[in-house]
Amino acid sequence: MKHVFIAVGGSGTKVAEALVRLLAAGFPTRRDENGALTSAGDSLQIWRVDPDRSSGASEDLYQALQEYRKLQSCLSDNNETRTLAQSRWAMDIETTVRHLDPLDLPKEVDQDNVTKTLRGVLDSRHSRNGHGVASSVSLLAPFYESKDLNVQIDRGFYQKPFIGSAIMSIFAKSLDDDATPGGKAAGLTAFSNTPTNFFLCGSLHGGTGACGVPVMANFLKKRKDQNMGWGWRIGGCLLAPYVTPPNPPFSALAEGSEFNESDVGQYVERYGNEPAFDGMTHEEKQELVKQILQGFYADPEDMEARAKQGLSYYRDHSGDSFDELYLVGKPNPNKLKVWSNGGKTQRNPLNSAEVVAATAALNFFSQANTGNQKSYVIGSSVADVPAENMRLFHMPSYNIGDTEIDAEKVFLSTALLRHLVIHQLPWDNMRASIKDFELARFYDDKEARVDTDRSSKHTALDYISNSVQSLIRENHEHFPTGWDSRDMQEIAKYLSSDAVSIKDIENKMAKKMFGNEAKGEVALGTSEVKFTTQDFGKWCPAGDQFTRGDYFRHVWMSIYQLSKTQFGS
Amino acid sequence: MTTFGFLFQYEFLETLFSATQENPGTAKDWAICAVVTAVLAAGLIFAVKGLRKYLADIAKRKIWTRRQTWLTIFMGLFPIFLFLFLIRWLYGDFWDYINVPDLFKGVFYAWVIYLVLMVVGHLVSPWRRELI
Repeated sequence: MKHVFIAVGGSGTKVAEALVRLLAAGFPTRRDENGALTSAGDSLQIWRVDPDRSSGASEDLYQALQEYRKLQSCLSDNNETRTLAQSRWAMDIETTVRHLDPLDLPKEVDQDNVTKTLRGVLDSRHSRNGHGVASSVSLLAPFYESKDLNVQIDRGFYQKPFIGSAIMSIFAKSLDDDATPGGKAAGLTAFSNTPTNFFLCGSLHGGTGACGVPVMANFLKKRKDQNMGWGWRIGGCLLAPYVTPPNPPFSALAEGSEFNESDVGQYVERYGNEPAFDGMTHEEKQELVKQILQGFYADPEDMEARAKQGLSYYRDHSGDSFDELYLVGKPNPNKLKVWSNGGKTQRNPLNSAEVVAATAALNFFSQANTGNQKSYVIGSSVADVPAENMRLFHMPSYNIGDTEIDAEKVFLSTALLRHLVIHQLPWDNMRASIKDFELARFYDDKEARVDTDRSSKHTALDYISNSVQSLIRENHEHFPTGWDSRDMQEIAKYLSSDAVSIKDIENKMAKKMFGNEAKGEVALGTSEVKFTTQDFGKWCPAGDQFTRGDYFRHVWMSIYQLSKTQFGS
Repeated sequence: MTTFGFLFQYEFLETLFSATQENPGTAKDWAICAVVTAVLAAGLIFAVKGLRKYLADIAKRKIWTRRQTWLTIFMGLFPIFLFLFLIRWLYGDFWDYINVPDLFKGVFYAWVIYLVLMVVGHLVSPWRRELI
């Protein structure tokens, strides 16, 4: 099945990163021909709709995709040059993000859309269907203030969806034509007659996400309705406030107050060395000062009201565009300590809300429905999910067929997969292990491959560990992630190579002296699994044509099937 | 038995033990004693190895490296020497007729048989890859 994740704005991009990490960590979306839970066999493209091309979030996503590419290469044929990261461990992902820049609009003349402001775009000849008009100011005056029209929007729409929606509408229309920059990047023609899951994700209260998600959804819905036989599905996840930024280094000026270049210079001199200005040129600092003075930044006190407005809009105008729509947020958002107005300086670790939103995408990709076409379901997490100290057992589960996919069990299985492959396989003596390890039979006539496979598998497991740790990083003083530290501490033991941790796990997986039962259970939160290393020795895909990815998936599946939560299997 | 009967033939023993000419019966008993000791030692070492493998709580501990296997085989040489030394000391006929050079020749004789048994035993068992 083909999936397209459309990340709108910075929050959507962080969710895309979380999705890539979840897939790397082994989260499944389907059952393969042997009945194994996997995501391999599906394919994913990531589109990123954001005027902020060089944001920290996009760099984090790029990093996650590069690691995913290397992981997949290690688990297939070690070819790192492919842009499509593929193996039998996890879903194929196109590692080049299709950047759909809403400011990269078609041009009638060279001067079109050069100035990256709302006025610059709306004054362009293309936006007026080729008609040359001196200025749009008179027409726009009733709707926009001058500062709204003139603010630089190449780093986002600064929590002002009313600025972004006009741009997004022009941009979405341009996607119909494969010759336009946006149309070329999206390449929608390739999806004609191809069943595809489109999943849009962005913030409900921000600028880019709030205006981009409904506009893009409406655009896709129209095309879907015109071609009902194509088998398109449209899902979405809206992120209500889950983090609140601190106040900027200085306050905005009162409504109607004016400032000049000299004032701006003074602000730059006084505040230019604050962390919010890190890595900026003098001109960029001046621009940021102007934005703050004019109030173009995320005001934490407005967020909730904006989210409410956004929800009303979806209720009245846009909810019907989606086959499935999810809402993720925190009643008490985590408080960020470092202020940023976008760009490269805005780099935060993954928040638990972003990971939950990525799980919503997995739920959608796995064809699970939360309701039928004629009704809707308001699902809700239990009331006691702590916003600041979430545990893995609080994560929503999703279904593949009749099997419930429990996040805690997935993490436990993946962590143990690493321990088993690295520490319990007799890599140094594979040829003598045929009797006790099925994998050794595979290497019996391929002895030359042992060292290559060992190295590739170890490297792949390092990337998988990295993804696991990125997903549930514990709270940091400056960057709240919303995760309780206990899960990370428990998992760290299973991912560790120190002798004490290895011994501890071995003691639990050791066979009792009489009988074949393990001495103890290996646990993570409320999940646990009990098996011996002798059992592990028997786990191996059938035949002698399987790949490293097949082997990982087979072992992972064997652990997952045996694992149980205190709520049942 | 016919195949290995030469081990106890007079002509063969004569070349091995000086006691053969003086007391061929005792020399033959000494040879039998050495062979039985070698067989018992081989059986014992195989049993120890099998038991340790059976009792291994972690699967990878069931797998023996080549070094570990040879080391265990060589460890079996010491009890052979000790046992034959004690037998010679405790049993009057051996003490009277088997001199020190014959003692060491008997030990060497047992060692060779033991090593052959251990190597062949590994080669015909599922453990052959732990040896070669």
